[in-house]
Amino acid sequence: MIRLTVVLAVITCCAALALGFVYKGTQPMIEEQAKLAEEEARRLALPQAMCGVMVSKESKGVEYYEGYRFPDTTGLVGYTVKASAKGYSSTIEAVVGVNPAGEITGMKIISQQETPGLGTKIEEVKSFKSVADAFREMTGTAELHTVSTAFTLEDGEEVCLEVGIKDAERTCELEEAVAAEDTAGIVTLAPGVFKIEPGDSARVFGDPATATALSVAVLEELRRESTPWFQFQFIGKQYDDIVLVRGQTDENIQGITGATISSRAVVEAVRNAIEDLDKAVGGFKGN
Amino acid sequence: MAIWDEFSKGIVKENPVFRLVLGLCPVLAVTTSLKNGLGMGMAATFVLVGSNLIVSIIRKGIPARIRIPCYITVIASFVTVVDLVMAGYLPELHKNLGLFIPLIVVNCIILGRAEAFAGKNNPLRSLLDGLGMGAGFTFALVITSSIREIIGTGKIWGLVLLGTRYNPVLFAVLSPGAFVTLGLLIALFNKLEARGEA
Repeated sequence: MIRLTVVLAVITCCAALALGFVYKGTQPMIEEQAKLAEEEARRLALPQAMCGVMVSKESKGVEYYEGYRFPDTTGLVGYTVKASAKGYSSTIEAVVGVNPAGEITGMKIISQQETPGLGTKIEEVKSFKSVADAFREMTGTAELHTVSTAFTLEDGEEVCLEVGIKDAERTCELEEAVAAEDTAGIVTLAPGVFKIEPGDSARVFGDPATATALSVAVLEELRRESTPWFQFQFIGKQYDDIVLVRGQTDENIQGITGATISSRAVVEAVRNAIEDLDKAVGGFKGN
Repeated sequence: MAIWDEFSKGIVKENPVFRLVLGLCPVLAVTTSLKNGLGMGMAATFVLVGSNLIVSIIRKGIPARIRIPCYITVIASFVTVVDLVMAGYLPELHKNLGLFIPLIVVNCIILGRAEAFAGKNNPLRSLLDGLGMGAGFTFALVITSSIREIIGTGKIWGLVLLGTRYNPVLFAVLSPGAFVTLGLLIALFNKLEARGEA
């Protein structure tokens, strides 16, 4: 019996030692990846600041970020804050974005270990579309090609979306026009934000004005499709909306149902985030 | 048995998925894309080779009564190494494979080879057996995932293969598509095997 114990103890000790070394070697990289994931989550939670900058702040013990439309910290578009709540089998962590009017601009779950096939549906994405896929569906054309030149939309937030604009009949003419554009202000979306793949672009048929309107619609479509459908329900709602919906019966449920322990935990995390922001900045909880 | 045979048997003749019908859980679950299939295959191969080698080296010092807990400890250690390295260096793949990386610990192929082969053979043969079985498992995952990705999305490795006019058959990348594809591939291997014996 003693021999069995000793052999097993030696093997487990050797394994523990080896794993300790591997852990030490990989830990910095894992932390770096977590940092990048949180940064991307902030951009998704507050897409209005995608071209601008996020500034880290702390007030009354709450750490949060202020998001600005422009890199020179002008044009405050909202705040992001990280919050958590206990789910069924893990603590669910989420980054929530809120605009100054108290409306949720987006949210991204950054950590959860819920039940596969059930609780994990809080992260289920309707579909993964590339820019080209979305354009193809909306224009009904199959003739999509990658273009080397890019056109930057010029109205407001959508300036981030980089698309190629061409006309089937006047390709060369428009290519020259696009090439003549001042491209100094072009900001490309971070890879993965809307599932833009390297070199992925789209050919849009029509004049630039029509194409611009179409591009805005595509941006919305991509955002709706690439955001997990459960998380998408929070966008545009305020703190009181969430409480109100949760308090209702089956009748008049408007979106957030909290059908599972996991989804209730997400609601709780969002509420915690807004409460934290209310504590730090004020004016988010309503009455 | 020649050294080469020790390696090659796992690829076709004793392919763990198509011939031995082992380790089907990840084959069905993660073969939605070639990237996932290849990633899972490489991870399982690393664990197979590592655990086979270590089990073979320490086999004479392990009392028979505790051999299974010892094998599991060795396998779990290699799986943890894969999990940590993948989380640090291949985060996208790590997220896609999710729970199926830790579940390699209970993959029948790995414990099966440790018990049936590495525990009774020398390190060189065990290493080759692990490599061959890993290659066979990866081969099965790559074939299955390629078929499902091509039919289900019209793409392979993210590149458009069937043209933009192709209407993807979503069924192929959903769970029923995995069962149908795997069933057809097993049938094909049986047919080829029967033809080879005739």
